[in-house]
Amino acid sequence: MKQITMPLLSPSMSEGQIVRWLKKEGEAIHEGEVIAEVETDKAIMDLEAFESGILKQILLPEGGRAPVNTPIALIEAESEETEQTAAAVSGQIKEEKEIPETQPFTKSSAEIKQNLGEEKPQRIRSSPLARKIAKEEQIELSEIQGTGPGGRIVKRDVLERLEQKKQLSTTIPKLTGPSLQPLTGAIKLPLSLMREKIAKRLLESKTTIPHFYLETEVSVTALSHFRNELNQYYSQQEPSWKFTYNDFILKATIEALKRVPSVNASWNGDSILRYNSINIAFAVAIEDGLITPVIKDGQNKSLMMLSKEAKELIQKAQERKLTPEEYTGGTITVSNLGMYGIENFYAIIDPPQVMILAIGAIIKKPIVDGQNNIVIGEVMRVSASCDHRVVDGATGAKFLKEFKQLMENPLSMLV
Amino acid sequence: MNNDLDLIVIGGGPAGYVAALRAAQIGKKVAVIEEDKLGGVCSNWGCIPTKALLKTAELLESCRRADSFGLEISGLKFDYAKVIARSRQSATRMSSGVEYLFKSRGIRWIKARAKINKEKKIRVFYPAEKTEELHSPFILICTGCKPKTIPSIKVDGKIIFTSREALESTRLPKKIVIVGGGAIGIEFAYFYRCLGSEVVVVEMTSHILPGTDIEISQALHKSLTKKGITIFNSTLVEKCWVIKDKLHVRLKGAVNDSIESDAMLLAIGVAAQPSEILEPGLELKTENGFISVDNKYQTSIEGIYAAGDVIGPPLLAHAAFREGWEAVDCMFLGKQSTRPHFVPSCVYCQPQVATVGMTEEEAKKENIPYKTAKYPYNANGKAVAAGETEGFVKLIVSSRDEEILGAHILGQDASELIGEFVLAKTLESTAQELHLAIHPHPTLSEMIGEVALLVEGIGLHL
Repeated sequence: MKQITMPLLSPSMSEGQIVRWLKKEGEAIHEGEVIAEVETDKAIMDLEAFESGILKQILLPEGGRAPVNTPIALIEAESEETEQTAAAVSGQIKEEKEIPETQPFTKSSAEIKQNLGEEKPQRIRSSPLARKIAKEEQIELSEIQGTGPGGRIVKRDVLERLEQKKQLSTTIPKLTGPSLQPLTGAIKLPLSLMREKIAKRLLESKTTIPHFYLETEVSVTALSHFRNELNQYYSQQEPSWKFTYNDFILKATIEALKRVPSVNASWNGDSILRYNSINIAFAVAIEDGLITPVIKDGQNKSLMMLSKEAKELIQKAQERKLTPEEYTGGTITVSNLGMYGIENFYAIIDPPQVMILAIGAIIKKPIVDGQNNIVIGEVMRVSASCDHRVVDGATGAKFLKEFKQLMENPLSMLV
Repeated sequence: MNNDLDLIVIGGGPAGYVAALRAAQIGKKVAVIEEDKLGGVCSNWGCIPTKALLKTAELLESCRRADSFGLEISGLKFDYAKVIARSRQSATRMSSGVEYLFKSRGIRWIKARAKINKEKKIRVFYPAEKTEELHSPFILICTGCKPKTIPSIKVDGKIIFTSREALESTRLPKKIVIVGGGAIGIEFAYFYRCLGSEVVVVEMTSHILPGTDIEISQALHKSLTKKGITIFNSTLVEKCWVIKDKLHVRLKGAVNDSIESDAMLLAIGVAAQPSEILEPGLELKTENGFISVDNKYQTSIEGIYAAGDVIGPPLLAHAAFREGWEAVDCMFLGKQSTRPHFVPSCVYCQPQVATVGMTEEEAKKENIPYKTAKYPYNANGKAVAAGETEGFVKLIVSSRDEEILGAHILGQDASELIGEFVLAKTLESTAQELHLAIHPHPTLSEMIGEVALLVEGIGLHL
């Protein structure tokens, strides 16, 4: 049995909706046959079967929405022989799809080559006319999804991308007016898809979400000792392991969310969506932007599991090898600029989430302890940006208080 | 035995037989109901038999100018009955080819008439009043078109006929009036003229081959006039009557005259008659007399599909081939129609006309900034060597991005040359690829590279 997953039908698509199933359960489907119509953020597109077989089960009914890459149906290969070819075909397709999937923000074919490392460079198939128009309009072919035969980029794809860019430039205000003329001597840099997306998404967030900010100081003296002891112990183990402060921050965020679950939610226009899973996103800076890998189902994961998964995701993010599944679906985000020596800052919420934590650097400073003595303490400032439509001041404060207590009593987060 | 059919196709012409072959190819059980021969008008009464006649005309014309090639031919004669017989043979051969394909693919041919009732069942009327009722989940109507006639003019098959009778008649008229200067009218005009008839073409619009690039139309008009064909544009047949086997035709319009003739060929276009196969109570949505279909070739009634000439222009066999194929893929593979297609069209008189895409007039009308260039046959080595220097290749490209908008050829083998433009357009090539491709020398195809250089302003050989 093989899964059919929600395909990535456009570079910006994060989820799709089944408009119509063209096949019923039990019906035979052929490779290349259109089996469903899927609505993306842009258009209704055909979903073609990658292999032949019998449609065994429809997992996502008509009208249902699902994130990219989640299974939407099950198919059974016709026979062992077809299964083999089907596997070969799907392997091939996976390889072809690797560019849009794992390199969603890739800018040029040169970069693709670099990132694919040992693999053969991918040729972008395009028509001469499409290339000509793209060149004139200064559009990189790598930002275009081809819809011609075999995924070839044809004229209409370039024109569609051009239209998208035009719409984008109208949603992102340009410098206008006599006082806002660009300064002389500027170099014009074309936008990468990632930059475009950041611009659009965060402008929308900052202008449509009623943000408010809470800030607190967390003493990490105990955590620092605890972390040292733990790392000491794990350095002797086989294999050895080293926990970062970030691992504890993730763990504390998850534990605090368990205690204040109303923060693990989304504004849904006429309702509020409360999530059972805690999917924690954390920002990773990469060249020309940032990406937020997501640890799913954090509520079920130990500190060790979180630490290992975070390390793996950070590495993948830096190599730009994250799959859409690995960077979508977060329910809260943690952004940490401590390593740059930033003491405190306020981040912009990544919709549809309702909170983002901004973590500052750990610094030593005189503090007043329980016995009213001035001692040298290790502290870290944490701010929470909250969506007031979902999180009220008191709720946000309660969350931050829980977070602070967990961080200051690190053993409690492990219980 | 009929209950296990996946598809019933009504009509065995280009759309119908291709649909049947495609359905069989993907493992479907299919039957085709066709009362006449398989292959439709194309194989039997159109494309193929007319090309056979035109070959005779072309050879005759070549022989008449044999001395310019250093040849002496004396006693050149023809036997019109044999000319017609050869044309019929070619038709039969193509039709039996389709029959053979059906047999080898297990497609059932039901040689009968059919009518669909409102329960979507098909009543089959065999000769000798035998009937049968068939049904299948999918029905595809491919009943094509028939030549149009004028109510006041009775087609008798002897003096007044359509292309169908002309293809069988063994009597060559001394003088013939051809009503309609479209592809069919012009091909017959050329054929009859080459065989010695006096020919008058009466065209209602301002140009022969209406819709064709005007420069091409005018050049052909001139060429045909030189061969002795009389062409009246912007003229209608007002009335005609027969007195003692002589036809009297009164013209109205640019020419207001009465002319005498031995025969008249009606070539005023074709019309679909979709209602002929529908029983009372079943109605399909139509537009301008053609069946309306959606982007899956489905008619206004679920399960009933239509393809080919019956769904409207372009009324060409090669468009019908594609529509038949696509209709089946829409039914069984969930595909969608890719209409409108980029369809070339050819006229097989000499010089031939072959065109694809936009005419210069259309580019103007749609306000597309364009560039155009013409390369004449008389500048091409192969054309000079072959003594076929009449005509030109015309290319129209967008001046924005050099997208190929249209290509129009008048001259020898134009119908074989146009394919390169069709492929270029399908691959979204621009003028540049046309001249970057090295064409063999000496061939007529070099003109394609040359006209592309010209349109880019860097022509060498002119």
